[in-house]
Amino acid sequence: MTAAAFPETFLFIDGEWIPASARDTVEVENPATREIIGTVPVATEADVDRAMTAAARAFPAWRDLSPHRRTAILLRAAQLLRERTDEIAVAMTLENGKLLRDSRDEVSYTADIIESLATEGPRRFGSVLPGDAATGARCSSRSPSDRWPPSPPGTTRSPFPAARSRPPSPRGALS
Amino acid sequence: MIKPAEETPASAIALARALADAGLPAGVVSMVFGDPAAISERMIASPLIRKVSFTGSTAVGKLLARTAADHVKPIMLELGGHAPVLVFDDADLDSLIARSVGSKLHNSGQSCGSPIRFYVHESIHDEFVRRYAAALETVRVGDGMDDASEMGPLANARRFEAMRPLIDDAVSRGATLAAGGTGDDADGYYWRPTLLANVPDDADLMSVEPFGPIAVTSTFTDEEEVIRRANDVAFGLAAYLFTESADRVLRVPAQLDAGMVSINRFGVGARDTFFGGRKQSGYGSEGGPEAVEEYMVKKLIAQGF
Repeated sequence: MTAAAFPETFLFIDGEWIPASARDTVEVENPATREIIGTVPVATEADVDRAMTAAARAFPAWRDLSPHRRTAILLRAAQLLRERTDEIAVAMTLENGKLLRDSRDEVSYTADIIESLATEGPRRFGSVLPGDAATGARCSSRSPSDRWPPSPPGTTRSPFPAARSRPPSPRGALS
Repeated sequence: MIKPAEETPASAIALARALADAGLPAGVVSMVFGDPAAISERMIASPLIRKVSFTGSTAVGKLLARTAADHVKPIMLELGGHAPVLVFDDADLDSLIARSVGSKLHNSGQSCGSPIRFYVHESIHDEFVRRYAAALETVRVGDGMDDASEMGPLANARRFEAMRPLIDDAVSRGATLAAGGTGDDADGYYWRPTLLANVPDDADLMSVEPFGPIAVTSTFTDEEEVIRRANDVAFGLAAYLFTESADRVLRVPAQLDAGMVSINRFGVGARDTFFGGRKQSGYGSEGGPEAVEEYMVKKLIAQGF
């Protein structure tokens, strides 16, 4: 029944795929058969630190990328998930036990959510309060970025910088 | 940084792989596995990490929230649920029973929105129990890779071992076992879809999330009474209402202390909507515009002129 092969597992740190053979491992069990179908590598403290440092280093360039460019990358990722539905669903059923058709639905729903959040990102606006001469102009902004303050209200027609989205948090079996 | 469940690494790695292949710059997403407590502690303590999001059990969510509090980190929690189902005497029973089977079997009941407490109006309770139990008894439980299976196994030994004590407790307090109630873990963690009828309010199953294929019933007569009992748990994630009354459709959902209410259907959340709970089901949203807001910071910039 479960002749399908379980895929190799990795840590993914700063763009590098670290195989299970390079670390201590824990076993992965198929709950439908109680067979050990694979292993997963255990990150060291240095691995965790390196991933966090990489995230901090990578964030400014990602933040400063156009929101539309970030959306395009996330939409591409969702499309790749859809194209890989068959292989991902088999792995999901082997490691979680859910019905293969439910695994396929879950891959599709994961892509749905990525698409939803990715296309939400470019249209997150801040707000401007005109203020008055006595109190000065006041404005309220929302952004993960401290890089670009808003143009002074009343002096240009520039809108607030659009708020930025980060990669959507995965949900369901993908989290 | 993503720390997925060690039990299901391949699904998470597929997500990281898709992001990397789509051109996400190195370092923007990293994924680590290992000792969950040690990794969480290290990540939350680091000044490099500015926000925490967790999907999982309420017990673990509380631990992470305490750790996050030590470092004053914003945290978003999608935790356990204990969904009530309010079935009024005008409900469409055929539709309800068909939907109740599919919804309860989904992921073997291991879903935060899985329907658990069926409060059924006393005039239709016995018929509902008889027909729902009969439908559950015919379910083919087996390997998810087999197309003939209608429900797969539980995800691990811990879930399997949690079923028996909950059922025994309910029966010892006077509940009737109407369907299932047995499991077999010789070749996998298989548990029969289980229905317990007339479960008293003080049974563990009325407040502890089974996270497995167990549903329970209780009767009611009065709308106000059933709303109070539906809300009388620590959780507040999903709630379900079955009625053909337009008045009730307008009146009852606003009184249910839950983050998500579905009427005459099961399932919560759609791709573009809010997804989240209240009380010990957590806080924050994993869907819709609100989910994007979770990852943004607010700032006031004031300028004199």
